[in-house]
Amino acid sequence: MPLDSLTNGPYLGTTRNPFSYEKIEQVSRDLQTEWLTLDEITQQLNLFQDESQDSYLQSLELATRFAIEDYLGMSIFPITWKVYYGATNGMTGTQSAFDLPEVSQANQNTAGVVINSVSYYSGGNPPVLTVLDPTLYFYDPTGNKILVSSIPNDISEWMTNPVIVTYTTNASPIAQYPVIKQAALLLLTHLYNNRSNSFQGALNNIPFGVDQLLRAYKPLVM
Amino acid sequence: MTIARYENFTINRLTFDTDTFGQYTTTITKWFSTRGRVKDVHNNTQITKDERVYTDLTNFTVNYTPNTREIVDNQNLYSITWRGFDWRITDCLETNDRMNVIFMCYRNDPVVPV
Repeated sequence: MPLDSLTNGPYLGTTRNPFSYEKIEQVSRDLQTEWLTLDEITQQLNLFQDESQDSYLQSLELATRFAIEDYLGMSIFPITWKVYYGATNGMTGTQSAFDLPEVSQANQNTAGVVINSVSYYSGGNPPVLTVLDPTLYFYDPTGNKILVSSIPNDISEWMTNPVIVTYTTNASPIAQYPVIKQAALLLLTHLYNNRSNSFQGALNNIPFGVDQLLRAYKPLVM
Repeated sequence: MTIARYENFTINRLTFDTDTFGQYTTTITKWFSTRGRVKDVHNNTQITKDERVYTDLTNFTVNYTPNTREIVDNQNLYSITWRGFDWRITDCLETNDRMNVIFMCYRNDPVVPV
């Protein structure tokens, strides 16, 4: 059982449940790169060389990719996040663990994320955001957390979440799996065929559809 | 569920001209390939006193796109090549939900003496 360490040192090195972050924000996402190719899409939609809807299809492709990324909680192309952590008593001067709300696995000895920065608001009025030296922390891919050797003792006591981590998830290798792409093509066909939010009568999912194709790849997220 | 009968075919542009003998000519130029549902072909023969006239009729159902809308607007300027034959468009039906266009097409076989 994971140690419920809400009251017992939420930033110690054990597995924490719940995780220690307070809130997350998505700060950057790829809006350009094509995942499903136009060739794959026009094959699926029986359009072939009818290129008169290409820009519309590309916008559908983007929406489909976002939906799959959000459903799986994985990035098909890199996504940058900002995570906030609160300050607790006894945090300064000791090693602290900051959980990342991501589930990517190390792939071919490459961590699933790149830590862009770890920063904190130092005390004072107004507080100043200070970036920590990268030598003071490292990423632990086995626990999806950042271990900071020491948080400086001038951390702001007044701000709600004075520690901020910015990280980028790497592209997940499963994005190239045919089963994931097939699920995306099913979803894209649905969006192409149904252009209104309302419908007379109930739409039903086909059996063995998007959920079935993606279920095995969806990690359990707390 | 059976497999829907989708087939590949080509949409052509037609241009009309007059040759040096004053005869009308039609030039067929490929515009794009696409894929659509093809209905069963209705084959019809008319026998007159001197000859038999074979006419084939079928429907092609394609997605509603800017290109297919252009065909609906100017159906005399386009033809469809399917299974090696040239089909001329007689009727265009846009579905109400603007998702499909149905082209009703015909072609004539060479006229055969009775």
